[in-house]
Parts: sequence; C-alpha cells; structure tokens
Amino acid sequence: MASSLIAIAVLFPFTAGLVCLFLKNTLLRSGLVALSAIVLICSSILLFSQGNLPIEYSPAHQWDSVILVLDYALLVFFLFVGVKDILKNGWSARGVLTSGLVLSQIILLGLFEFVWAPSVPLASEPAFFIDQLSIIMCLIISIIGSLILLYAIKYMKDHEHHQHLSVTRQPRFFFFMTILLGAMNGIVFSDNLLWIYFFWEITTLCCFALIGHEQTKEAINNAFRALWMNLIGGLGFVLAIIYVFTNYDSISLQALITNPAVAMAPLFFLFMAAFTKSAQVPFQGWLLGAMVAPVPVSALLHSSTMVKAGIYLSIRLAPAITDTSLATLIALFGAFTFMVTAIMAISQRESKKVLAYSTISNLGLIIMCVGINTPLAITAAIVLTIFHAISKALLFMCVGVIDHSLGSRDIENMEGLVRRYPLIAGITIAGILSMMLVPFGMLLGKWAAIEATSAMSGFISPLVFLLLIIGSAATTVFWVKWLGRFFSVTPGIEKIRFERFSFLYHAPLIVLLAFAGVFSIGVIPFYESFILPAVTAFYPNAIDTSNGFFGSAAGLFTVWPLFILLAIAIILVPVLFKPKTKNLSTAYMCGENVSTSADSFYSVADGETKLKLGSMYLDTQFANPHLDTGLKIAGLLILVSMLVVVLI
Amino acid sequence: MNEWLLVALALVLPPVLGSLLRGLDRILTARMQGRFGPPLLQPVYDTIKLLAKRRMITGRMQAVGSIGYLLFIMAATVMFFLGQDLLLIVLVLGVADVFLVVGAFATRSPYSQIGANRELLQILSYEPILIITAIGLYVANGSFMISEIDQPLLPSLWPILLALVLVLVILMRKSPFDISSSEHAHQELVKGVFIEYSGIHLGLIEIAHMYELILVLGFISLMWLPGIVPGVALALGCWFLVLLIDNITARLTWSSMLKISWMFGLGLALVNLIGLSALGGV
Repeated sequence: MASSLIAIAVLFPFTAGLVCLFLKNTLLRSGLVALSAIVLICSSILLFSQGNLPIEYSPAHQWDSVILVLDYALLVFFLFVGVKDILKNGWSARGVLTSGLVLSQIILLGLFEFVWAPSVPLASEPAFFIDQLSIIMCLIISIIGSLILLYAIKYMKDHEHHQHLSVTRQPRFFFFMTILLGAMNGIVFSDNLLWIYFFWEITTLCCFALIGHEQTKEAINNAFRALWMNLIGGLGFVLAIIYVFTNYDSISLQALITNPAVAMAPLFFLFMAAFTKSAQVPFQGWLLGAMVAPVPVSALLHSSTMVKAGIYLSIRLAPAITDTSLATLIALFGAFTFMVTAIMAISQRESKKVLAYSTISNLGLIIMCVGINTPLAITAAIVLTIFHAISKALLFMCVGVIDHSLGSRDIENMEGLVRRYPLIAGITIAGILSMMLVPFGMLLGKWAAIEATSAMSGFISPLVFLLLIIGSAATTVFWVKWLGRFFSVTPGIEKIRFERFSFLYHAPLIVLLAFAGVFSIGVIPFYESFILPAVTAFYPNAIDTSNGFFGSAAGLFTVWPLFILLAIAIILVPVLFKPKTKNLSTAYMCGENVSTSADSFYSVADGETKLKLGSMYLDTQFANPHLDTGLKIAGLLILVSMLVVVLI
Repeated sequence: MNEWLLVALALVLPPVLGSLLRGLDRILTARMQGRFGPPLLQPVYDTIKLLAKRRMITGRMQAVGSIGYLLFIMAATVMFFLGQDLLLIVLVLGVADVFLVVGAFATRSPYSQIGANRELLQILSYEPILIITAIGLYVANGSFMISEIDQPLLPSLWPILLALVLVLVILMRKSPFDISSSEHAHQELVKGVFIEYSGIHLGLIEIAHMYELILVLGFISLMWLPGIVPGVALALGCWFLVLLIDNITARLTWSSMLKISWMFGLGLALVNLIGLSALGGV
C-alpha cells in the first residue's frame, strides 16, 4: 500500500507532466492537470492516514541505474545550456559560472561513481525513508502545490489571452510545474543522498525553465542567475556525498544524522545547498529575479516547493548539529537574513517583491530556528514552515487575481481596493492578517522562535536577539503599510458590490484561507496530532498543552481568547457599525475642502487640487545599491566563517 | 475567583489611574510653562463629553480601528494583571497598534495618513525595545511569565529600564518623539494619526491611551518587584522624567527618532544582555 502511494506521489506527476508536454488540446491538458492535482491530494492524504511511520522502502535496483543515467543527462543538459549561452552571447559571468559549476559536478560525480566507489549503490540501504517530517512536507507539496496547479489552469489561459501568443506555451509550462511537484516529493521521501541529489537537480531544472518561461531578455537573465546559484548548492551536495561515502561508507541521510561522531564538513556542504535553495542572503538574488515568471510559478516556488526543499533539508539535518559552533553561526546567518530582507521589504512598491522579500525573511527565521536547535526552536521551525506555505501561496495567488483585475501589481495602485474589488481584497487582507497578526499560526511560530532564541547563550546571542527583534518590527511595518492601502477610501457611502466569483481563481484561495484559519484556531489538536510526531522523532516534546493553551517551559500562548477578540473587532464591529449618511463627515483639510468633491482641496490661488496620498517607502535609506552589496558581503562573511569553523 | 478579581481590577483600575495621571500631567506641564492648568479631573470631563457627542465618522473602518485598538490594549492589560507571558503581551500590544494605524489609513486624509506612516516608524522604534525587554526578563529571571518574577530585576536590568523610558516617551506621544501626533492640535501636524476620529471613537481611543499608559508604567514597575510600592515609585519617577523631557525638547524628525531609539535604546539593551551573559546570567 505504502509503496504504491510513494510511487504515485513521485512518478504520477512525472508521467502526467510528460503527457502534458505532448497534449495539444487545451481542454484535455487542463483535465489532465486537474486530474493530477486530485490524484496528488488523495495519495498524500492516504499516505498520511495509513500511519506506521517510519516507512522504509527500496524499489527495484534498476531504478538506481535509471536515476544514474537521468542524472548525467540532466547535468549534460545544464552544460549544454551554459556552453550554448557562451557561444551565442560571448563570454559572460552567467555562462562561465553555469558551465564551470556543472563541469565540476560532472567530473566529481564521475570520479566518485566510476573510479572511487564503483560499488555504489549500496544494496543494504533503503532508498526511501518516510517519517512524520516527510509526511508533513508531502502534504504541503501535494495539497498546496495542487491548488496552485488548479489556479494555474485559469491563470495561464487569461495570461496568454493578454499576451496574444500565436503558439501556446502552456504544454511546456505545465510539464515543468507538474514534475516539480513529483521531484519535491522525491526529495522529501528519499534517504539515499544520490537520489535526493537527483531530485534536487530536477527542481533546479524546473526553476530554470519556469523563470525563463516568458523568454524575454530579463527572464532569461534571471533564469540563468537562478541556475548558477542553485548549481552552487548542487556542487555542495556532490562534495557532501563524496565526503560522507569515503568517511562513513554509506550514502544514507539517516545514517549521517544519527551518527554521533559525524564531521561537520559534509553537513556544512549540505547546508550550503539548503541555503542556496532557500535563497538566503547572499543568494537572495535568484528568488527576487524569479518574479518575472507568471504568478503561479512564484506561488509554487515561494510556498510549497523549491525554497521549502532547502528548509526541509535544514530541519532534517538539525539533529546532527546540536551544540556545535556551526549551529550558532547558522542561527546568526538566519537571523541576519530575517532582518535585512524584512527591512528591504519596507522599501518595495511592487507587491510581488514585497512577498518575495517576506518569503526570504521568513525562511531566514526558520533557518535561525534550525541553528538555535532546541526542541522548542525545531517546533517553531515546523510550525512556521506549514503556516508560511499556506499563507504565502494564498497571497501570491491573490496578487495574481488582483493583477488580472487591475492590470497592476503596484501596491500604490491597490488604494481603496476594498471598494473596487471587495471579494479579492477581503481574501488578500485576511491572508495578510494571517501572516502578521497574533494569534495566527505564523505568529505562534514567531513567538516560539523568540522564546527559543532567548535561551541561547554565548557571545553571539545578543547579536542574534538584536537582528531578531528589529526584523520582527520591520515585518509589521511593511505588512501594515500594504494593508493601509487596501482600506484607504474617500469618505462616502457606496453599496458594496462583490465581483464575479470565478471558481478556479477564488476556490483555491478560500480553501487556503480556511486552512490558515482552522489550523490556527485549532492549533492545539493540530500540533498534537500532526507536528508533535515530527519533533519527537529526534527531540523531546517542548510544549505543554495540558491546560488548553500552547505553553513552553518559560511562557504561554493563549490562543482562543485572542481569536474571540479578533472576531469581535474585525467581523462583529463592521457589521454593527454601518455608517449612515447623516453621520458621515469629510476628511480634515484645514478647512480648505471643496464642497463638490470629497477628495479635493483649495490650493494656491483657490485652485481645486485632487488629493494624492501614498505610503512611505524610505527607499533612500533602505533600498540603495551600496547597502545591498554591503549586506551580501556580510552574508558571505558569515558563510565563510562557517567554513572556517567547520574546517578547523 | 481571585483571577476574576484581577481581571476586574485590570479593567477598572487603568482608566481611573490613567485619568488621574493625565490630569496631573496637564497640571504639572502647565506649571512648568508658568500657567495654572486645568482641574485634575479635566481628562475625565473631556472623555465623558467625547462619549456623549453625536457620532460623526468617515467610514466603517474607524469603528474597527478604534474598537480594535481598545479591545487589544485591554486584552494586553488583563494579561499583564494576570501575570501572563510578557512576550505575548508585547505582541498583543502590537496588534492594537495595527488597528490604530489601519484605522488612520482608512480615510483618504492627508494628516491622518502622514500620522499613520509615522506611527509605523514609531512601531519600528519602540517595538524592538519592548521585545528585548521581554528577552531581558527571561535572561535575568528564567521565565517570560510575569507571575514568576521572584527577585528585584533593577540591579541586573537597569540599562533596559532606561531604554523603556524612551518607549514611554514614544507611546505617550511626547516631545521629542511626538512625530505621529502632536500633543496639541494647533501645530503643523495637527493631530496626525488621530485627526479623523471624533466623538465616541476618539473617546474610546482616549480610554485606550489610559490603558496603554498604565500598561507601560506597569512594565517599568516590573523592574522592582516583589512588593508593589517600590515598583510604582519607580514607574512614577520615570513618568515624571518623561514630562520633564517633554517640556525641554522640541519634536525631532523620524530619522533621528529611529537613530536614537535604535542606537541608544537598543544599544543599552544590548550592553545589558551582553553584560548578563558575560556574568553568566543570574
């Protein structure tokens, strides 16, 4: 049963994707995409409900050879891409970096597999090892990823309608979108490092292809940046595999984690791979560049797949770095990313950029938790991973819908959206609230992260505190700024008319919103049945839920009383306090209001001037290129210090 | 049963004490400026008058903003009186401020929106200090729970106390950090973030301020527990210091506020935590 479910979760997306590539009929293709979404959701839920964890399973050995061949095919394709770029566009950093990084991987991997260790694969190991953490990730990937696929069916139709393409590029698009889900499931299920590496490189391929989807100069440039940055991670992976095999005679991830005398070097290489995938500073460039791709791509890369592969690997490796100086530096590194990207988000006007910075920031917070490495911190990391995936997928898809209604993704153009598009504005606002407001799950995670961090000792800890608290305040600032734009309306009474409900656009959003709400309100049973088994696989339980609240050893998070208050404030009050015309007043403009218009004032020489308002972006302070370069160097320095610590 | 008494106290005490403090504030400020000042109960009269006025609003979100602001500050105060998690209290206080800012953004009004933008900068200035206070409490006492404070914290946390005075200045919207709303309406900023509120909604915000004032004074008084008297004396001392500062300074720009609160406030807190960790905690 379990083995066939695993096969469905990994292989079905690949098969469906391949068929999509050759299906010219739009209706059939959409049907197939919808079918694979449903199959993935069902198989992941069945896998979750059948229990008996951990599952160890090895498919027939022919698969090792298949993966070996495909792996080289993939690397040769990357090399071809890099060399072709050099031949076409001359010597450029992106071409050289791509080819160089791929070439080094091909050589190292070739030497390893055929010269140093020709007996690989080792027969004794399971290829798949599935515990609760894998199941959580699989559910995130399969359910949220599938909802994004459903949304993409309509989005891409509208998108290409706007573009007036002569030949649709959707087969290729859905091919990569679908196989990305299969590859992600492969990553979280596999225990054999070579297998993980193969799936890891497939996600890199999908990312490269999807970012370059529009084929514009900018898109191709950004796709290359994503490629070479992720290839750094790939190289890290190869080095780790070689190190682990030559020293411990095994390429099992579990064996590596549970080995009490494990060296730090391979862990550092694997963390490097995770950091590039999760776009931590200084590698944030590729994820920001990914913004050129259509919205479903961003939604997928930012929430349930791609960046979450790095997060998964980090959480998976966490037990191996307990009480090491590598862990301390990882905490510093994560906190650093958390703060600087939160600050940078303040200066962004484009909604997708704000979301992108917020993603990197939250991933930084999760990485920090991995570095803090106490049971509470790991709990926080998993809580944040789940709730971030839900809310971020929701918000990206909201931005897509707003973009198609409004023709703009600029936050300033969203002024007064509650009146113009109440349905999508309401969903987006709820999504933003679920990202930033106590007592939603994200904030529960953040609260746990701060409490866990406070227990950190050593001379680096005050620095981590500082980064954490400033980042936390900055997060509030950029979200509230955006919220404020939605609500900003001229005084006056208009009948609210909801826009037309579109099933493929709004239904996935409402489902995700329901997830965010229900899991946040019912966080205690959710934690006990879902998150706790993942934590207790390696750590003791850090949470006391006996009195009905979420209690850590040093604090208490009261969930439902705050939800009741929130419901009163944001649901009951607006229902009860309907404005009436006789109560309505105009805005204060020093007595220079124009009587015929509520948003004009008498300016110089009694000229009627329309009111123009906006948020502040502080771009001269927080968005200058020198600062950006400086911060990248700082991030790099922390990485170098990790390397130094690992090697000495 | 005892808990319900505490909840009742938390709901009743702050408006009473807050009004008296506000009255005293106005008298003392007047005396410092060579004026006589209003009667002690003037803030009470003002608030009652506001609550009784005809309701004028610019939109539905004003009700959400003012009521949400009050509700969450009251929640934070109740949690404080119940000796709950200080970090969560700070986060709940943050929710209250979100309501205030969104309420101010909800009207297309120049003064209100400038105020809202600047209120965000105030959040950026004071929220880190409040969170690091919670962290300081944990480092010094081993728990975030207020109910578990069992020793005077002042000897180990006095630099954080100084930083808290900064927070008090910002939250009382006093000079030099009255950048989101001036204390007096006849200045170029007018009433900033509060300008569009009137009548009952402004009254609710005034009441919320009283809770907020008592809550932050409460944070300060935590530094000298057990025993209520020394803590209260400490809080009142800091409060008077803020009045003094208010009367001898002029409004600064937001960037100087951010610089001062991050460099001075967070700097002090950081030195404090480094010191504590160098001494191996308490």
